[in-house]
Amino acid sequence: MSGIPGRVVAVGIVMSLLGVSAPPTLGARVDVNTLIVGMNTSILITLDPGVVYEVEGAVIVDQLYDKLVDMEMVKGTIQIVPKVAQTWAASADGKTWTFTIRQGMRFPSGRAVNAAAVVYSLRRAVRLAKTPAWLLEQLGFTKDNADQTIRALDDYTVQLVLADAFAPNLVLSVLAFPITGVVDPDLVQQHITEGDLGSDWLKDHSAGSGPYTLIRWERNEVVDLVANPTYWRGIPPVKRIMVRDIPESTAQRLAVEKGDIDVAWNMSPQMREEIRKQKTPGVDIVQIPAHGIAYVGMNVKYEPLSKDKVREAIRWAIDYEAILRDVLRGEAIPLQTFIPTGYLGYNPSRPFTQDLTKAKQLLAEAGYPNGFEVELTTSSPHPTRPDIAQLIQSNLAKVGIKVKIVLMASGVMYQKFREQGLQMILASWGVDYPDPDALAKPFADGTVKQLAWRNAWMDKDATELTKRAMLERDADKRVALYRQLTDLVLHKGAFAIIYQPTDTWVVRTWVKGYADAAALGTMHFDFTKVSKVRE
Amino acid sequence: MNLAAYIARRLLLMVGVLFGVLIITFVVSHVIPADPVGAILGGNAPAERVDALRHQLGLDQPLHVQFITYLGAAVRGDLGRSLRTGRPVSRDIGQFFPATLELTLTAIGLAIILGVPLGVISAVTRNRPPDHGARIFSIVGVSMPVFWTGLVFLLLFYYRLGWLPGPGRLDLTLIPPPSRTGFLLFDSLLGCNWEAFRNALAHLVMPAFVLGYLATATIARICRSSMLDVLHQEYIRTAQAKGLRPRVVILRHALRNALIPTVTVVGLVFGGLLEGSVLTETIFAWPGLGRYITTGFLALDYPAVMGGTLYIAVVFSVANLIVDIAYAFLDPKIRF
Repeated sequence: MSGIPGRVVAVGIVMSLLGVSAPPTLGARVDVNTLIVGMNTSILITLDPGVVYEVEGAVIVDQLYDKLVDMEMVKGTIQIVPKVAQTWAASADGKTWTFTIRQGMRFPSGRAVNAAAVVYSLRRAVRLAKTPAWLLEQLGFTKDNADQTIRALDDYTVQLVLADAFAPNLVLSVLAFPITGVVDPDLVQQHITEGDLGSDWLKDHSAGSGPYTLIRWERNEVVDLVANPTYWRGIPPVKRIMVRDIPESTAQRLAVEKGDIDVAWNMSPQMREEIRKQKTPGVDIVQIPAHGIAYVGMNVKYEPLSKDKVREAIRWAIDYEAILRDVLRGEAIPLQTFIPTGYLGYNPSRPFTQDLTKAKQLLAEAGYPNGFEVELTTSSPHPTRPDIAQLIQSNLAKVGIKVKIVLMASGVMYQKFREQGLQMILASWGVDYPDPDALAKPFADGTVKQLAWRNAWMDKDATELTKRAMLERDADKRVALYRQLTDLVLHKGAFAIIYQPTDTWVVRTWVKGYADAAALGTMHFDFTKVSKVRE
Repeated sequence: MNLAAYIARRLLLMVGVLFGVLIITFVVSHVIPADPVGAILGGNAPAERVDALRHQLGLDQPLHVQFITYLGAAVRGDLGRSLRTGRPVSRDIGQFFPATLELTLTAIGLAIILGVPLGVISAVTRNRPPDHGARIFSIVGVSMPVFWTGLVFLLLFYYRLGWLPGPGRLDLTLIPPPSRTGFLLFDSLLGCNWEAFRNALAHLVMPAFVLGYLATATIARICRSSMLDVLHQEYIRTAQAKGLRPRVVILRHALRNALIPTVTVVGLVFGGLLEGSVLTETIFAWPGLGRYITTGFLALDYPAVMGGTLYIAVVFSVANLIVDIAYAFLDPKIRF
């Protein structure tokens, strides 16, 4: 890796200038009805609930639509709670689910949110077959069977027929994804062109019953939401949310410190650390466990890494504490198993701390007393990964493993990874739905062609445990299965799990309730819990 | 050859240039060992879904088939759909390009207004304090990266002094005027929306100056050196010996001749500003084409990158054609 880029130096100098004097306070002009969020919005592609898959896009869609069910953080654990569906029940065989739709909900058009609207929305999502459709497909819904498997039994009852008797938490977690956001069928029908099921129009219009409606999305400028006067839970405290495009981290910092924006959505970790250190007045930092895992993947096709003892030696050689302290500056949660905190089946086991003697001994036992050479690939540009890779390089050098760091654009890296073409990779996995199955499949089941397969790792026991846990309907037995599975992957798997990242925001102190609103990170962001006060 | 024939010939040549740009952009973007579909779907996507989308987008076709298909559509004015957003590229460009052009034209305008007088003053006061000052200004301008200048300006004029508004093209509290041309200043004027006009102008000052500073410095340096050349010519000495006032000698006799190389540089610098606007657009949250192309690059969105590059190539070619035509007006000896 080359030295510190000029751009970072420039930012550092500007920041030191910034720290010379306290930022101006502008509390007097706070508009308590409008929340302004500074965000890099270039990632936004669509605001159609049937298509959206990007994190920030899903956060906005969450404000526009009510999903079939929702999630809440209860005592540190994610729970599925009613939303459009007030109650639900599964048949004795676990395949047929019946949902009772909440009465009294209306779209802004005045039309009722009913079983017909739910069925239309779900069938539409399946037929669109866009990026997130696999979530529903894995439950057994297809374009061909949608009419039979997604049905309205009466005005307020919906029946879903699944392909298998999946674990209830798995089913409900998938149904809490934005893809189940209920659209106003009549409104969407008016905007269908060339059989697109209205997806072109819904890219930048809303047709939901959520707490906000979209009034404009000027790409790379602003996403403008206003409170929905017909929202079934009443008008939220903040009447308008403006997501202003500010792609550059320093500009976000200047704007939030000046009070021109209320929330800096994606400021760099380095700048957040400056704010922490300087105790910048007027702003708070809100940090929530994110739905993801950072890992080092070890491809067992590469001869040295095929040996369990070598992979275990690497786990013992990594200095996890230094990564969290020196690179991530505390913006991460220690984690070594593949089910993160907050999830059903969370396994807090953390046996590995840096122990070079043990690592050397394991390498010697595996037949590599003098180490070996290996490539560690990671994506760049990235705020932390190149630095973490460098730290791991120095850690492994101490036990004789010569690591060559390869930096690639993420698109290039993932293509090679999908072809099992990398020796070691430093990357992260974003969870798609808040159930351990969303992690067990990629990390443990080599037959699903996800992370384990990309590292050429196959283990019959792990595959079987993954499948059993997916279908286990008893929550306690399921937790026990995941304990067994996470312990197996912890020592035999193709990964060294490094940490669980956090979602972190810089927020003006006049914004209240932000931590509650963000309790589920970006998986489900509830702006109705946010309010503003004049300080 | 008269001017009309010259313009016709240049326009024909431009078609060849644009064809070359298309081929190069296509080849470069397709030889990168990366999969745009994988980039679109992200790291979580299973291989089957990646393959299905690749087939759906026609990216599994041989390269020459993809190029011929693209070219055929481009000739009809269809630049395809963005792989990332699914929107027609021409619609995206229509939305983002005016913002870039407004910024770049303002920047080059500022650069000419400041750079030419600076170059002249520098030349006529050679090795005296005004010359030293102008040269320091120029050296700083060509040395400082736009990224740095942008951040310092934001820090000073927005954050500390509060004289100018922060990032963006317009205050969030203002309702933008109906888009007729895409140029916010024009649209505000057309709608007689003075508040929006003043606000848009205030938002434009900082990014335009930051972007234009580099160009100002370059123009000033070239103008200075060509002025120095001209001032040593015999006809200037003759004019001075005839007793003409220094102002007349400098502005009417020297500057006009010194402007020819300066105009050439203006054409080239304009192209550089178009390409280089991406950093300014990022720092100042300017919703322009530079950011659109960069986002396209990072997402391996070929149609967006190719469409955007083609547009910039067209504008750059037209700008250089205008420069060539301007020679004839500056120097009557030049005939086409």
